[in-house]
Amino acid sequence: MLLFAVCTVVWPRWWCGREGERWYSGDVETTLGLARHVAATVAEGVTTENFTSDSALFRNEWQFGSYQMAALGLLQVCREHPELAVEFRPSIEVAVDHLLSPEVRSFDAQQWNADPLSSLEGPAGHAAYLGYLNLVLSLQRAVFPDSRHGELNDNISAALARRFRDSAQHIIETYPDQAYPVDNAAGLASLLLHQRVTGIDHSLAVAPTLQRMRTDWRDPRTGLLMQAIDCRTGQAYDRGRASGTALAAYFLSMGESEISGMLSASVRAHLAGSVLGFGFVDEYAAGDRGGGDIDSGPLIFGMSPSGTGFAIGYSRAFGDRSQYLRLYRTAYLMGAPVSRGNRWSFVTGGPLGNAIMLAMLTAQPAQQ
Amino acid sequence: MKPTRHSLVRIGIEAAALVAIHAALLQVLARVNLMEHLLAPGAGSFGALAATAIFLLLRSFLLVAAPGWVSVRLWLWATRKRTD
Repeated sequence: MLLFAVCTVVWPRWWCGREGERWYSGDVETTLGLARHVAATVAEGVTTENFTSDSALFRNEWQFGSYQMAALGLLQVCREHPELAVEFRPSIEVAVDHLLSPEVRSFDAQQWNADPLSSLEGPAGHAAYLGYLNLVLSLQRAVFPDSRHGELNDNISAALARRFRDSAQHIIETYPDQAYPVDNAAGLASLLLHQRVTGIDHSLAVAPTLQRMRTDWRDPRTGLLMQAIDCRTGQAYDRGRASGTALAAYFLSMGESEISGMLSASVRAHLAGSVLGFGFVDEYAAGDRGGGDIDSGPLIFGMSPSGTGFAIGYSRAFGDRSQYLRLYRTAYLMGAPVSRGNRWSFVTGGPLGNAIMLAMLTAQPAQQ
Repeated sequence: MKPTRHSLVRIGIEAAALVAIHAALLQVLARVNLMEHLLAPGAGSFGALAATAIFLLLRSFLLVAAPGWVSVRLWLWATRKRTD
């Protein structure tokens, strides 16, 4: 029994964590395989047929999410390894072109009955589409100052800033009467990054929403970010959850470190755990109960696949090496990476999962 | 002598079979999109979910428990040989 216990404690964490340290340190050779796989996925194209949800809305959202996360991941790779820009910049451009395409933005246009890019002068929210897209455009401009999407980035940033400023509850709707702090976090991060890159001051527009992120939209007991807010009353109608909090922490870390640090700390304190060196993040805090959904994925004894994956991102952003390595071991165990030629990918990932993992594994240091 | 050699060979064959089955399943599943079935099962996801569950259980056993299991069996074989 002692021999079995020693082997079980020592071997699995060593074997599954062999490449974790190299990922954490940004080793080029380790990063290239997954980056090439994601770039090839973008080149092949992602369609709604790649996804199996019975909901056309979710399939379209995931198509959008695949390109968005692919762009973020590849931009981060180029930021950390400028010598790889020659190889990956074309793929980033293709990903952005897909994000801008009528097909990919149709999920948002159908919900609002208005195109998000044609109605920038209007008051309607489009928080998810515009926020996630603009984060890519702002990061693209930070990495490639000669980006051809500078004017669009300026126009979307102006629209988001105005909508944050004009919203009575300081939250922008994702769909009519639906408002989610995590989607607003992407928009906020895009404006903070846009401000750093261009010098255009958005501080007055975003200050009230950032304050909500610090206080009102966080669970008073755990500090987790509420998953959904009533845009009429400003009150939360869902609990603080890992899938929203961890992703919001990752997004916000691209523009600031105070609130993203607070959200990360809440996840670490109330949701993160490990078994035999394999990390996990629960979707709900102790004392809360709930089932899995489209945001979290199916929960396994309360553990959240989405929350666990997104936590890798903020772990790297805030230099939490031990948590990064624990979560990487779980990603290796459950993701089952495989090499094919010069590409490396997670078998259970698919186009969306691998794009997300590239973005999380290569997350950049939180902006001070 | 015969029972001891047979036991060692058997340990080796079983371990190798586990690794081989895992490697084969890995290559098969590398060609099938699974993530979306896991996140949001659709009407036709039962087969994919079942295959994924079996694969992940096998993988978890192989990477987490099998090293200890094989080590114990080898130790039992080695100590049994010395007492024979």
